[in-house]
Amino acid sequence: MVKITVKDVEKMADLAKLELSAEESLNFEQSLQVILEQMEVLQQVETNRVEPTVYVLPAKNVFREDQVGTCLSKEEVLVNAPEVENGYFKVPRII
Amino acid sequence: MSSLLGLTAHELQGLLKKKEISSTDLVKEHLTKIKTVDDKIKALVTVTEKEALEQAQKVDEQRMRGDELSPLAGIPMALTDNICTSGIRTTCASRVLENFVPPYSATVTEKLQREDAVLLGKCNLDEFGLGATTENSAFFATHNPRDLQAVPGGACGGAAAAVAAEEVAFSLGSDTGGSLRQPASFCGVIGLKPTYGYVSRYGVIPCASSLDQVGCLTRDMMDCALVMNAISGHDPLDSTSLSGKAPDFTEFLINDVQGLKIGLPKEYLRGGLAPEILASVQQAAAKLEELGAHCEEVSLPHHEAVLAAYQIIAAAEASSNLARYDGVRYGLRVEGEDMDALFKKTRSQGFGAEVKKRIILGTYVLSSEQYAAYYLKALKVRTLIKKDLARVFQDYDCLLIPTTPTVAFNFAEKQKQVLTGNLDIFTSPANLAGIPALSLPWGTVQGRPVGLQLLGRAFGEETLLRVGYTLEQNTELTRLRLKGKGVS
Repeated sequence: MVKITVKDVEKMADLAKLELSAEESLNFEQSLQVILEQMEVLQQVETNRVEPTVYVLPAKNVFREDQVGTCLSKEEVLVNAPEVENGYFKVPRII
Repeated sequence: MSSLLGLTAHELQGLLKKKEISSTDLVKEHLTKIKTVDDKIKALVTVTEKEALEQAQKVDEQRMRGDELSPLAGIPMALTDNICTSGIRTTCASRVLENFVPPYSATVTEKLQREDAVLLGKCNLDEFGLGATTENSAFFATHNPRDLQAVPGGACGGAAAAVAAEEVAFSLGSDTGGSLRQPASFCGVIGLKPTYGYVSRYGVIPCASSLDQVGCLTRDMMDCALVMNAISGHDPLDSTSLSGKAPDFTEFLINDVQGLKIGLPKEYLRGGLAPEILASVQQAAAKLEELGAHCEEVSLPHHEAVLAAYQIIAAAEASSNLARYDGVRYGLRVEGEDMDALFKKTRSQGFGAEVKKRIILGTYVLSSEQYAAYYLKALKVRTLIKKDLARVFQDYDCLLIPTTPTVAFNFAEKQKQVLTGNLDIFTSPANLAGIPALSLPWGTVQGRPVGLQLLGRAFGEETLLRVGYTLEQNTELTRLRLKGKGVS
């Protein structure tokens, strides 16, 4: 049986770019433990020769002609941006 | 003139055609109903009064000119607030998208606009579709119009409540593991989740992409067929959209089930099921037998693993889909000293607890150490669940099960549970297998609606509509009137 720790939760939070309070981490540790125990039922299913199903439909690439079509204008694309400068999304200094 | 509220879209269209009423009258009457009852029900996040009145007037002018109009022209409807509407706020009931006004519309929105259906508002849901009671909306909880003490179900509780409360004639929602059928059942309306790929997902903010499908909530089967006619069909903007021409769903409304073989999966009709729900399914099976169908017990052996597989796949896909909310291109931004701090602050303050929990779970099952044990395992079990269903559908035309294990419960009753996932026990198999499923009201238990569910083979909407229509034409149980402890 897997045992989840607060450290595991904090690691996942970091990977998912979330900052959790100590209370949240503890809370999620407990919920996750219960959820993963419920998931143990899967281990009882024999799946050695079973292919995974990622999509229910036969997966295929969808191609189109490489032609310019209509798309949103730059102004429309930027309209919901929290911060814009000179027609670009603006973010804090990276380097 | 008697009230127009509570009539179906096709009944209203009949009155519009005869020019007994105008679309403006119709929209005004529904807007008044919204103003009267929605402070108690809270089905709507946004009411689009001005746009609705303008559009109703346009439709009225077209009708006066004698233009050819569609069956949904001038009919009041609502969309779940994860369906993008150009120029109209689309929030997913999340703080992250609280002020998001999409510069484009979902394909289903455009299709309904082309039919001149009139949008009255955007419906509340569990934040990003994660939940089963609509209590996880970042704004407010929606109440069940049949009984205000009860939850409306979820994630699309607002869309079901809006139809049940007679605020609109029909609505659209999305269904990831029952998000549309379960509230349909709790609120006593019809909910159809079509075959995966039948309806475009373009512009529908995703929850779990391999499971999500847009469907409709209506008062009768004719409306279900008319809305499906409007929204289905190939869309080049959705690469998972099916090619080919969609059928005319009204042709499937046949009042005859003679000779149809209907399976009753034995694993679904035992332990954990409320006795009154089991009795309802048995009563429906007896009715179908009486009408000439053959009902027999069938087996779906991997039933036990359905919920675990569903929860893992849904959380994994949701955690990936929710990665896009980073405070850079749209939505909430909470400033930080660097990019990492900006991402973390934005996401931590923007998402509610349930969403964070699913992100953590999804990240965990996708992490390199756990991938094989959980995510890959769940995908393999998904194959077995799909095969179980495919095998049964070789011999049976459809399956009959309940939509939910109980009727709607009171607020906070399920809070103590870690996941409300066991509510998805009857609904998630259809999403895992991509098959169509219809939830149909079947009377009430102590004033709270019961939902029957019919599952069909992929592209088997024909049988579901036929069986649903036959039950509707031969019983009084499928059309619930608004009365009792709710808001009538």
